[in-house]
Formats: sequence, structure tokens, C-alpha cells
Amino acid sequence: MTGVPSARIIVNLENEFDLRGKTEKRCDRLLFFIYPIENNLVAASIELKSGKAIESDVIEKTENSLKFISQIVPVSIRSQIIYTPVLFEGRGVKWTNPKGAKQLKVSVHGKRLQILTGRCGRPRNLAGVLFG
Amino acid sequence: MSEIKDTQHPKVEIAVKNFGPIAEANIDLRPLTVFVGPSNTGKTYFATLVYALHGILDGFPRIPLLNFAGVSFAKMVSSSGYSANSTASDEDIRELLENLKTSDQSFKFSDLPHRTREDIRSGLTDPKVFNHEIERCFNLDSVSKLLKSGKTDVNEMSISLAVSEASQDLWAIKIQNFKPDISVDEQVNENTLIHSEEEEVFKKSRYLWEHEPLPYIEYFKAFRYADKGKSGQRYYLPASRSGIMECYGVVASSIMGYAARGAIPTLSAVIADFMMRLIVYEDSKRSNNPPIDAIVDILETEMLAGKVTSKHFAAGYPNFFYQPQDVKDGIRVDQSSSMVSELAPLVLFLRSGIKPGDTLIIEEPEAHLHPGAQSDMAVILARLVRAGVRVIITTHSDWLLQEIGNLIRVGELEKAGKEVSELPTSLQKEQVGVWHFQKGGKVEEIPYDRINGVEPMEYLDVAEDLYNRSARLQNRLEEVKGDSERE
Repeated sequence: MTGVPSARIIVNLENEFDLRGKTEKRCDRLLFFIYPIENNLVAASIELKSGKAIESDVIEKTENSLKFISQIVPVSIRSQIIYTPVLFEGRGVKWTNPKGAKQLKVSVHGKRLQILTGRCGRPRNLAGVLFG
Repeated sequence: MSEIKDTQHPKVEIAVKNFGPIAEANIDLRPLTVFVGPSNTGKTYFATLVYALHGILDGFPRIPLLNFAGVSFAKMVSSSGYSANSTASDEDIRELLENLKTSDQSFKFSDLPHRTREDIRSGLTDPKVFNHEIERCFNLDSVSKLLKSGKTDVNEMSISLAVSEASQDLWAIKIQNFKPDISVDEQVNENTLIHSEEEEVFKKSRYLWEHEPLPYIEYFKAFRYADKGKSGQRYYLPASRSGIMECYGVVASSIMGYAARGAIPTLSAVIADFMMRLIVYEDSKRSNNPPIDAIVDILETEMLAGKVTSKHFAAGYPNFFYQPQDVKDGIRVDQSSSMVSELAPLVLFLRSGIKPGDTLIIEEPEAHLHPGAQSDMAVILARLVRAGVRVIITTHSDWLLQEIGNLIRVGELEKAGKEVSELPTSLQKEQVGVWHFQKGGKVEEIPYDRINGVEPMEYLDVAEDLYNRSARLQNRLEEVKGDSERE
């Protein structure tokens, strides 16, 4: 979490989905924080992947998680949220497509967003993915 | 699958401490050795050092029958009053022959005449030889200037070289105390076996000696060349070769061989030797080496789409031309594309006599090549390795490394008995050593991994950062699009 704003909320989606009796596939975590430059709420879905990975599975989990965000945030700010799909890969992850997770896109609220990708174990990895 | 040429290179390990920009490195030279890492981390320094040591030690032979061996015999001849045409009756030759007669085991280094072994040892530790060639290769006034910046004590710098084979250490040297003259320690394994084919040379000499006394020089030759075939020649293609090719004519006519130190700015030996090989190139003296000729053919037909030719000027040095396929007239290499300038010296070097057992050092073989040609270059390097040439490269190319990884994957499949048509050749993972140079840190090997190949993690970092920057910007544009639609 180095470099990520300290005022943040992390949601364990497994718990949240279980509590609400949701059975769809979901990412591992949600991360909420205020984007320091533009003062917008950033909502990032974070999927952690290792071993064998299938692109369609990642897309489905990410889209479900981003939709879930819009269900839990106040309606008044829903349209101002910066949705940020993130995927973290472990070393040696085996994608079915040789290009891996690159160029994966998800649909949310009529937008086509590219999934940002990070690598587990790299210093400052989450902040690097989110802010460069 | 083409057959791998077994040149029986002994294992060569070179270690340095506080050398140039390198804090510490211990690198063993494989059939294909690759130096990767950021700029100014010492890749070229290390490659130049390999070139220098190769020159000093006459390659890295099993038995250190170096240039000093010639000096040794020359000394014997002069000290005992024999001329090169005298028949041998020198005690050293007698000792050698007696040892050959009495030795019921294989002939060993310790069976060589005592005085010869001492001469070899003293040659191995002669600081002048090392000083001269290292200074020449690095274009320095003093080897002490190679001390890593930030270090103050030259005692902190060292260069070690160890030659071994599977069953035994063969010989080693350690250079230290750069103040400014160096000291060199040596270690030669007295029990090093003389290989049967080398032994044959001695036995033939013995036979001839017993039947007809030979001129002394014949014994010298037998001794001198006993191990020579394995050590090979050295070749260096410097990073700036395409630039050199563009001003080759001017430089060649100006210096014709070498730059006199002090009179005009000097060149490092890697560049001076590169120029020299071009200046003395003669198309009529092409070597005839089918595996290497086949590689030249591939380079010309598949990568250059044309031939590299030469024509001697009256001034005595050749000029080089590029003749594209299906075009009648050639154009000067310096007027051709940078890709041609880049590859022409490689073609000329290969044609001029690179053979199995030689060492070819290429800085950045990917320079001026399109990504597709960079991966083709990886295949060319693999072919050279399989032809028996020891290849050492420095590189920044992701494409080249990716293809080297693929060549090793093909090698793995072939080893498992599978036929693979993906690539025309392959490499075994044991043949490739990829070494990662880092600022201030120790040089580490990047072991081959089926998934990640032989690429350093920093390449992935750069690719990931570029991708994420692109994705973030695209997502922002998507947000902007959404905003404008709402408005």
C-alpha cells in the first residue's frame, strides 16, 4: 500500500458477497480513496491471479465487482466515481492467451475500460499501477 | 535439426571486483553469453576485458601454452646456441622425449621440461604483458584507472580468471595491486592431462626424433600448436560499428592501421582491431568453412536482401559495397541504410575467417534492426553457437532475449524427442548464460525459466509501466467521453 493515500477503505469482497447472498464471481478486494489531484472518488476492483488464468474469468469477476460498487455508493456521486479495474499477476501466471492480461477490457456504465495490470512482489506496485 | 559442433571449450570463469563500473562479477563464459542491464553498468567493460584476456592468454586453452611458450623455446634456442635450423640435442627436448618414453600413463603438464614449465609460469605472471594489452583495449595510460569510481584503494580491485574442465581445475591467474603496475599470481595444475590428440603430436615428434633428428623448430611447432586448435581467435564488433562504417574510408585512409599514441587521439584496441580487420580484408582470401558460409548466406539472403562485396582501392585498403538482390550496381556501404552498415561488418568478419573455436564479441547486435530483424539476429547467434563459435553479446533488446528464450524452449522440446518447426535452430539451456549488470550491485545470472525465458524483470517493469500509462490515459479518455455524452 506504499504510496496509496492513507485515507482509504478496503473491502473484502468475499465477505461482502457472502453477507449479501451473492453467488456471482467477484474480485478479491475493492479499494476506495480520494484521488489526490482531482478530488474524485476512485473505486478500484483488485483481482489477484496466480497459477492458471483465463481472460474471460477475469473480465467476468471485474465487471461484477465494478457493478457492485455502483450498488453500494450513494446515487449522488455514482457518476463521478473513477472506476479503476486492476489485476495483479503472480510470477509465472499461465494465461490462455499468449498476450496475457494486456489489452483486457471491461464494460461498466457504458464505458469500456482497460484493466490495469501489476506484478506481485514489485516495490510500490499498487501505487505504481494507479498513479504511475 | 542441425548437428551441434562440439568445440570442447574448457570452462572459463572471469571474476572482477571494483572493476570500472562493476562492484563484483563472477561470470562463466558459455557458448552464448549475454550481458544485459541498464547503461553504464559495465557490460562493455566486461566484454572488453574478455577480449583483452583472450588476447593476452592466446585464447583460453586447456594448457596455458601461451605466446610465452614460443618465447620459452626462443630463449632455449638462443641460450643454448642453437638456431632454428639446428638439430635438437638440447636437454629440454631430451627431457620431454624421455618423459614421453617412460610415461606409462597419459602425458601430463608435469611431463613437460622443467625449464619450459617455469617459463610458462613466469610468462603467466609477467605484469608487462597484462598491463600493455589491458591499457590498449581500454585506451588508458594506466590500468589503475580502471578502479571503480568512489573507491580509493587500488588494492580493492582484482581480476581473476580460472580455466577448468569437468574433471579438474586446469589453471588460473589473479591480477591485483594496480599501483600502477600490477602483480599476477598463477596456479597451474601439474596433473593436467595432455589430450590424446595433443599427445599424438608429441609422439609423432618422438618417432621422428628416433628415426631422423628433426630441426629444432619442428619440436617448437609441435609444442606450440599442441593445444592451439581449441583456443581460437578473438573478434570484437563494437557498438559504434555502423558509425565507423560510415566514416571508414576517411579513417582508413588517415590511419591505415593504427593511431600512434600521443601523436593523435588514440583508439581503444576493440575499435582499432575492428578497423584493422576491415583494412586488411581481402575478398579473395575468403575462408572456406561450410557452416559459417551457410550463416553468411542466411544473413545476406534473409536479413540484408543483398550481398556485401569489397573492392580494393589503389591506396591499398578495401572499400565495401552493398548489392541489393536483383540490382545490378552495388552502392557503398556508407551510403546504404544503417541496417546494412550494422550487418556488413558481421558478414565481413564471418567471411574473413571466423571458425569453430573462435570467440566473437558483439556489442548490441540488435542496433539499427527492426524488431523482426532483431529476433532473426537471435537465430543467427544460435546458428553461430551451433557452428562452434563462442559468442558474447551485450544487449538492450527485449525482442532478442525473447527469441533466445524461444530457442531454448525449442531445445527443450528437441531434447524431449519432439520435432519442432517453429524455429530453424535451437539452443540448449546449458549453452546460454544471461548475466544481469546493475548499478552498484553484483552481476547476477538470470536463470532460464520456461515462462519468463531469460528476460530481466526490469524489462517487464518497463513494459508494465508503459501499458498502465496507456490504459490509464485511455480510461481517462473514456471518462471524458462519458462526461461529454452526459452534457
